[in-house]
Amino acid sequence: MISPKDTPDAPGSLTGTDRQLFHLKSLYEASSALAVPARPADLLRAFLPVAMGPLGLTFGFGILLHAGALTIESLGLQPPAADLYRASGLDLVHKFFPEDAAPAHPSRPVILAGEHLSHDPNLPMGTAAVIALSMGAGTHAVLGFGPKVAGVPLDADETRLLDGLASVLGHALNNATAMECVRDLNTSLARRNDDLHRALGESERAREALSRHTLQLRALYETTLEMIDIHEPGGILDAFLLSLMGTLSFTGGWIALYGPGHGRAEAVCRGLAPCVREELVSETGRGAVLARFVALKDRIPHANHACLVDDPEERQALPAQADAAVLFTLDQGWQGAIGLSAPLSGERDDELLDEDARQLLHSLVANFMVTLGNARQLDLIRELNSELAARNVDLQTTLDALTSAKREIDVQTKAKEHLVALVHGEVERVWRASWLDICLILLAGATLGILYNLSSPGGIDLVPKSLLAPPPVMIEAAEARRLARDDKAVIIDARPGDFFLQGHIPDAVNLPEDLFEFVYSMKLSDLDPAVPLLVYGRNISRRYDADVARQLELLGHERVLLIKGGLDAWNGLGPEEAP
Amino acid sequence: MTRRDLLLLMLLPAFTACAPDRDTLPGDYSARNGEIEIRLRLGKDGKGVWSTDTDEIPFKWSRRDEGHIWLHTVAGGVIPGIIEGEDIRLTLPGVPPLVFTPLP
Repeated sequence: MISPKDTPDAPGSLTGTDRQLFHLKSLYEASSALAVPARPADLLRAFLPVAMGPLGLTFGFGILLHAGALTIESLGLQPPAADLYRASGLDLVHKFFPEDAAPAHPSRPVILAGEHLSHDPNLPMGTAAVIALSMGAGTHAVLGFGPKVAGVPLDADETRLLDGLASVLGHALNNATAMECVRDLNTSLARRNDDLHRALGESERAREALSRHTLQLRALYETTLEMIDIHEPGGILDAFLLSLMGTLSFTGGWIALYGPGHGRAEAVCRGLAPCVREELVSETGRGAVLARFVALKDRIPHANHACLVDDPEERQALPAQADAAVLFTLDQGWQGAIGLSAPLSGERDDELLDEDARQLLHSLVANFMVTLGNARQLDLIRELNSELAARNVDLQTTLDALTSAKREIDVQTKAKEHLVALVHGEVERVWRASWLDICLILLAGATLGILYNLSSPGGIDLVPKSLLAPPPVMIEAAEARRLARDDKAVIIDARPGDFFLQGHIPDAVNLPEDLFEFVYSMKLSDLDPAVPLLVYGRNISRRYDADVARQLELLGHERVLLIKGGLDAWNGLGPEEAP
Repeated sequence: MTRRDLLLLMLLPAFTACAPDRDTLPGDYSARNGEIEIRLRLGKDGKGVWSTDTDEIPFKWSRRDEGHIWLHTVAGGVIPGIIEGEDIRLTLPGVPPLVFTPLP
């Protein structure tokens, strides 16, 4: 840099060529000084000595308005004057570059010089030149310089030099503002890149979440599709367990379903020992699962609702191994539990299922309960239909029986009417019968009776012997009891053996008429003829007692008496009192 | 003689042996009821006599299936009996069972 002190005594003493060379060197050095990358404010600060030195100026100041910020630099001004322009710098810039007329593009610098500037109140006292620079787009600069040290005004060459220096400053400021703009753009671009990266990350996460949701929806769809064709509860349990293990990546699992009352339990298990199923359907298993519902208290699942068992101790209390477990309630009567064990990941911590997996498990179990409930309703409808069919069969049988009975009744009614008509006809015909017919009928009957009596050893008497024989002696039941007790009379039951077995007077001898001779020879042949014989046994159609009594009298027994009223009269006396 | 005729000839004695021996029942039998001795005579003509020291009662008898025998009284009654080998067990109302053994 060439300072005024390095120059010969005065620039004005140089010859024309040397002076031009000096100005060119000054311009070169100014260009070199301002060529380094710097901020516009730094360029302004560096420009003042570069411009003031070659021209030998006493002071200089610069005001830069860039991106809405005001920068003021001064060199050679007394502090009060510098502070004054720090306060009114913006007005000075707006004086040269009104806001409504600010150029949008860089323009050449404008140099004002002359004696009038030294008396302008808006400028420092003695200002010899003012340069206005516009870099466009809100970047403007106003530079002011004081008089030369030599006290002479700037000549034309010096004014051109100042113009050249202002142009160099203009270019430098343009480059600086452009670089700053590029820097701002880079910063903005980096910020936007960051934003873009952030957006890309969020997009990736959203895509992953969407993939998970798609996977969950697919699993829900496939599980539902698999179970929808199964109408038997046991098959649904098995299919759902297999689908659940595959979806949530478990190698073992079980489902137990308990109905109202004991003995109504169903269970399936996979990847576990076969005895697990026996344990699940046992009363112990039922009690262990239902105890979990009781432990939940007010959080117990309502109808068609399920809840995860998060407490590891609660899971341990279930009847089979479960790293993840769900309790569910179909309705008030049917409850159950699902257990999953041995995850493929090998992890066995409490947070085995993340939020997505828990939500998927909830959705799958909800679908499972709906399908299972439908299957149970279908089973119930089938049972009702079977009962209805059985009742229909019974009803049809009853209807058939009633129809048959009605037909039979109709037939019997017709038969009755026919018989009544026949009887009426016969009665009428009998009334029309002649005496000859009646005689023939009586003759035929008598002939048949005689033939029967001749052929049968026990034939029927034409006239009962009891009617021809003298009437037997009767005795009151009470007297007969006394006689039997005091005179050692023998009581004889004359009825057939079957009647005797149904009931008889104590100590009576059964002497049926048709076995009279045989029994008499065994029981009574040695009896004293004087011993009284008390005979009973008769009914409406037969008088066994009279016939037997007559035979006994014929055998020589002197006192054969018939008990009046027979067995009924005897029993009517009540139990015999001890003598 | 054909083979079938020979077979029938061989089976004939067996059939004869298995057939009920209706001619073995007729004869005289004896039984006791306390001090009373009862003699029973079954005739081949289906008639019989039940006799004690004081009575002599005629009857008819018939053989039933499965070892049973019935004594038909003149008054129309029936005394059932069971054939036990060579003995005959008869039952009368109010009388202990009477076991009649054949007389030599």
